[in-house]
Amino acid sequence: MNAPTLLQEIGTNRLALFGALVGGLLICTAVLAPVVAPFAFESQNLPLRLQPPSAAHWFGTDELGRDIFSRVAHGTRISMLVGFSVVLVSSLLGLLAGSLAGYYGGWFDEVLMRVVDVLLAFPGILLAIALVAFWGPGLEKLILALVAVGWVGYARLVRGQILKVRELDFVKAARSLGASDAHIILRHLVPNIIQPVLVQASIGMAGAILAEASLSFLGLGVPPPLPSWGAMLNDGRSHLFDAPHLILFPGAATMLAVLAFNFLGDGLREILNPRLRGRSALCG
Amino acid sequence: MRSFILRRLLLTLPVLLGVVTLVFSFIHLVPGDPVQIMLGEGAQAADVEQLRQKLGLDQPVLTQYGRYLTDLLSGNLGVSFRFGEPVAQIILSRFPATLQLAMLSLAFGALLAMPTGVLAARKPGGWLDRTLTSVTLLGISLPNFVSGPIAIILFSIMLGWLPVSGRAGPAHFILPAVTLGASLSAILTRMVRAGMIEELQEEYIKTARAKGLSETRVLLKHALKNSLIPVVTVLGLQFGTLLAGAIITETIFAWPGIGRLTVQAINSRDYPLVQGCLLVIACTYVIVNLLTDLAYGLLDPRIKYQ
Repeated sequence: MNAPTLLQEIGTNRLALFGALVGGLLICTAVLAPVVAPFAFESQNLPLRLQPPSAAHWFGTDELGRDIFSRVAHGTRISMLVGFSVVLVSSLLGLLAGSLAGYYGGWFDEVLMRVVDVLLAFPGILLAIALVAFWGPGLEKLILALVAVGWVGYARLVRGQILKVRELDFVKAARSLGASDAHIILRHLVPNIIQPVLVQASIGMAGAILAEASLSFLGLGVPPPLPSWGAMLNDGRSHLFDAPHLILFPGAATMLAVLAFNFLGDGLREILNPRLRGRSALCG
Repeated sequence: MRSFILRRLLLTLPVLLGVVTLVFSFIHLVPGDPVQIMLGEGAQAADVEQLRQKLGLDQPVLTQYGRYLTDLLSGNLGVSFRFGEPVAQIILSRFPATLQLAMLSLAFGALLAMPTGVLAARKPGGWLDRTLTSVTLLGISLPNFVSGPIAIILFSIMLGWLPVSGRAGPAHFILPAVTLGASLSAILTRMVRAGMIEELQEEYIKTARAKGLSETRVLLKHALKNSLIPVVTVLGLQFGTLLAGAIITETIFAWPGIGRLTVQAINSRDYPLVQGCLLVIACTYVIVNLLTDLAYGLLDPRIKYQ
């Protein structure tokens, strides 16, 4: 399926359209955060601390009197930056490792699969927590930890797909015409297996946003005063009684972002595999 | 069956060794001197050296690794820097609380998912199905660090029905278990629904209906039973996710389990304790996956192990 047809299909699939629109809105907010935000995200105003939502402060203020709307808007930047970086680097690494393992097999495939087994033996986010715990907090370390965890899924997916495609006639034809291995992998195999990778990337984006927020919630993510939705939620926990709005807005933003990219992935899966229509991929 | 169990056990051993090796290597990932970081910048050189020797970090890496494996085989996970007690002992005292929470969340998730999944599958595309599908999608996308505080605001602060935190009595279990089990329940509902829709199209269901069996019997006795096999797989796989999720849920509700212990150990740079917690969670995950795998044969006699 080419790009214009894919876009057209997204327009007719409700899940994908919702995901694409909200995802687009989040990306615009991330890019335009300094314009959208009425205040600087670090600007404190102690006399106005813990104010409920008002005309001046749409989402209210936090315990240091900072404008929550501005911080949520800037937090979108962190979420999108982490999400896109993790998905991009993980998928490229996964494509490289999975293609080589699937195409050549042999010892590289054996070693890769054992590494994958060990990394998948850690439940979800635990390995990322472990890596950040030992590396220390920071945006770059956080991205690196999530990549270290994220590439495994792509590698396994790509390897499986390559194993299916590499024995097809068009690959044999290319080989008999004297095409090099690199040419076969890049020009024939990868374009034929890229669709499930796109679906995984969209759902992976939701996972990366969630993981960043989780780590920041635990104090292992983005260091203050940078505004991360997870860190804002953690700050809000000590004011559940007197200022519940501190958790409502960053919580809603996190949920919306995760929902949007999950919807987009689910919709893409339906579009690219029409047999799945009406059966959500999120069920497993 | 016996050879299958043996083969699966043998396949699990290298994975466990890999997990142990990875956990051992974590302390060597610390940028700079891990001992200096544990003791803080103002620490005396003599104290740094003493702790380094105590942790065995003055030895070559291979010697450290050999000693780590030997200690592990005798159940020795080292000594906590913060508590001054054996790591294994601390973890043993906290692990039951996490297991209790995970089991309750699993039970909550499964018990809620089965009736809702069956109800949704009765008329696919109907209003009830659409409503339940939307609710489950929201459930899947709602992280526990959002749902937890919202549940506290609603049920503890506004309504005053349930305690905010701690583990003093049965009422304390409800909010953490529901928070931890909510997204699992959403995933399972969708699994049950998908499985039921598939099963309800099978010939044996038509036969059961033709025999004049009640719809409830057809749904519960025939279709549900057969659609549960993939659900059990997901339950097993999700158990690990619950253990990882417990790190956040236990932090929110001040639950005295291994998840909260992990966060406390990370914050106090108690590396031996962090390693111990990670090792126990990962090994539990591997073992639960193994048990899930072995349970297939018991649940579905059609599966023949070669």
